[in-house]
Amino acid sequence: MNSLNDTVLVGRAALGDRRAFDALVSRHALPLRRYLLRLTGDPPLADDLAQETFIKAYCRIGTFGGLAGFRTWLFRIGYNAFCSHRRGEHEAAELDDSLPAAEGADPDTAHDVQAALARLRTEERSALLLHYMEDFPVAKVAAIMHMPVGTVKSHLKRGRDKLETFLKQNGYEKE
Amino acid sequence: MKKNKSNDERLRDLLRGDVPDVERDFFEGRLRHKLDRVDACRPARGWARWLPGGLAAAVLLVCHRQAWEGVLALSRWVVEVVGWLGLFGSLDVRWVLAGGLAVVCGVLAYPLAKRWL
Repeated sequence: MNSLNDTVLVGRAALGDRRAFDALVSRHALPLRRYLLRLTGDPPLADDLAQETFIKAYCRIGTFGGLAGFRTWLFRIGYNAFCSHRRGEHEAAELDDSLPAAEGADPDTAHDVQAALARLRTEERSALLLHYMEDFPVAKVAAIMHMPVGTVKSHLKRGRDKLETFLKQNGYEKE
Repeated sequence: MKKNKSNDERLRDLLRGDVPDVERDFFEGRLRHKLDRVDACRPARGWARWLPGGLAAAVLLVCHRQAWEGVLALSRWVVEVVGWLGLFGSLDVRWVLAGGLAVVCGVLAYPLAKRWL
């Protein structure tokens, strides 16, 4: 099952094959959880959003058109789930320095990266994570975030500048 | 957007860090449990979608003479077409009606069959 590509697995899952969907979960759970963890800075919340994302994807897999690719579609659902959560808790829209670092990671580096990400606006953070961390091309980032490509490029530029400034101030000079 | 490879790789490594795949089994187990519950609700939704329409059609056929005559006329037409094509020499209206009923039952039973197979 793991040797099959996403398109085949999605087709089987749409016909009710649970093992095919489980294979998709195994393949995409880590990147999605990593993205949501960096986006929220809160491991339990990130996992709840990832679960919600997979359940929505499972229920709507019959409507997946296949134009954008399953991974893009999944991240789009994940980003929407995050936005809905944010709308529900508007005071938690911006992260702060007290966010927990990723469990098990090098505490200093993880804390610095999370602190640097916390200084970005949500859209900048999401665009940066999707493009640089998950290797999505700009057009796909635009599709995930429902934004024009030019807006995504602006977010990337601003986000990257802010991140570099903060990291340089904290001793992460280019080697 | 043009990517500067070495800088971008450095940034990617920094962002990814060594975020571990913590509690993967727990995450997937919890998700599997939730998906089982979604599956358990699905056949009911399938039946809910098909049953009212099927019952309405059955009631219409039983109670409404014209609807029943329409079905008979359609069956006779099928018999004529089949006869014209020279297939199934002994086919009559009763067989067509039985075939049609079997198809309708198959469609109605599909969600249940999918659950058990």
